[in-house]
Amino acid sequence: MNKIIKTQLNKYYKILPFFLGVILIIILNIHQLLKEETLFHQISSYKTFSSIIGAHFQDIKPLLQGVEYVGYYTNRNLSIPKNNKRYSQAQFVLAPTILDTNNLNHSFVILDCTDKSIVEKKLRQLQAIPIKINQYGIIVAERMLP
Amino acid sequence: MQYILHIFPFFISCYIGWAIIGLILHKYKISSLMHLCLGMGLGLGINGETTFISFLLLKQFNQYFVIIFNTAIAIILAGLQLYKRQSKQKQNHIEYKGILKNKKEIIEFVILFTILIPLLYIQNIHYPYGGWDAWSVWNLKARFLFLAKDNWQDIFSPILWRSSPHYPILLPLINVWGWSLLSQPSNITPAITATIFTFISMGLLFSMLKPHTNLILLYLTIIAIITNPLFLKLASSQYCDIVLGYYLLATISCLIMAKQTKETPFCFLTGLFTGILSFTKPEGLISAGILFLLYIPYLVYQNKRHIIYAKKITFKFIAGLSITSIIPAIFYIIYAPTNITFENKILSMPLLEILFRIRAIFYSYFMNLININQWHGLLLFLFILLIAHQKKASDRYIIIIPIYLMIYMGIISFYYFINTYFEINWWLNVTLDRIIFALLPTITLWILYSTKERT
Repeated sequence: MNKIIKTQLNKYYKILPFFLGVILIIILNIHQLLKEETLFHQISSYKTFSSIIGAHFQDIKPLLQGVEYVGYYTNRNLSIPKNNKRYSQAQFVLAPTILDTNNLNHSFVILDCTDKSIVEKKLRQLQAIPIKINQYGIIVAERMLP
Repeated sequence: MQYILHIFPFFISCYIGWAIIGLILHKYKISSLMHLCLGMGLGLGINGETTFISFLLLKQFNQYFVIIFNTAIAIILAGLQLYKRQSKQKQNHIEYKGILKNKKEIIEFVILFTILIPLLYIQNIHYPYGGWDAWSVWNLKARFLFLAKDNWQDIFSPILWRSSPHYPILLPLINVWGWSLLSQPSNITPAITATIFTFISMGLLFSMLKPHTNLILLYLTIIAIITNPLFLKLASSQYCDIVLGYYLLATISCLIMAKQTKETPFCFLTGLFTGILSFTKPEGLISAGILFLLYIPYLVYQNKRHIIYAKKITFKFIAGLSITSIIPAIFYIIYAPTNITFENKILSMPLLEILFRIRAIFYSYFMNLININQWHGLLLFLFILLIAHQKKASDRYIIIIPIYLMIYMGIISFYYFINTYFEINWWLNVTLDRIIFALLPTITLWILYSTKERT
């Protein structure tokens, strides 16, 4: 009987350091989860609008129903992650319409610029008429293609 | 009502998978948790693939077609189950000895469910759209498939290069199937998909290991995994890595059970899961290829009747594989565009830069292993556990896992090395933890299996 208990104890002694190790990992995990949860509660009031993907582009979606391609023009550098994210969010919201950044030769063009003068210049250049300007400054323009 | 419409397609998938597993393994008793976890994944994989039939036949997503087609499969399976149940008494039951069926299972199921689901729910509240790559790649593709009608092939347009047009589309198809009773795509469905795959991955891991390892160590390790913040973040991110991780684990689990029982229905099941695995991600295709090549040597190794046995298991495996690999084959051969995010400038690089690249890859592997901030020592713990039980780590039943891991990581490292399209440090930084995440259930299966005290 004693022998059996001894063998069982030996087995557990061998594995004991692993029990302790994994318990330590669980404690670290729970500590981190609680820390993150507190942080989320602190910032939750600020992130209501920004957490909605593509919120800036939501109200132009009805205009582009059934349109397969639109041009997308921006003076922002799209290789910067923040700007790339803005474009990707627009693409997500406006899908299945494809936002073409390389070619503006489409019936509709979305202008998402930082400066009003750039928009005016681009509209003249494209011979396009704005059909919608939303509260975030996003413009949908229709081109007068021959 | 809306909640029911969100969940109902998943119930159909669960029933389809449950019934198929029941029919294939009708002579064997496997635990209910394992039955559920294998069935749910198989059902979702099959329904994802059958949804694609709508695009092939009708050139667009047709809700009525998809609902009727998938419901018809469920009805046929119900009929078959009824027929089998009537003739069941005539057959002798062979019990798969490694796995027991008892009331304790229900308690374990409830414990796993009550820990994991609230944690994932909190993550889903914080990130309702998932991670960046979820909405800009996987969910974007799903929206195109659901909304674009006959322009669905726009997902392969080079303009959308940011969404990796060459990626296989199993996850978007599963989400489209999840939306099939809705009029508009919903953000809840991809979150449900991610939650289900996380749950069935952990459930399958648990039920596979239960007969083979110390129970307390198993409980603690599973809790350490499901409470890990990085694991939870990646699991709820709605990326395809949890889907890849699940199908990899399911394929390897069925393969191990085929070796343990020497029974061919498990070979058929391995074939089914291998086909679905190849449709998850390019990494899934690589994994399916590796497992396909290792399949016969692994099962025939140390088997006395090897020639007859090899013929039998090959036939069953190919039969299963051919069912679930038709859709992936059509996708890869006809639709998938070439990878535009691949560029090889290694030959024109100076030697110093090549050496820097190699150093960056291996340094990144090492840092992932020891960095306490990322995995909180989970990988290090598994590594030490492996070292302590290294003799049993090459047990004939699980030898397939280390061999697969060596080949797979070799291919991944080589790809990191030769693809110069991305800046290497940035690329490793954003992708390596996902690769480890997808492998984590399989690695855990291997290492915890090695801790078993053989009697």
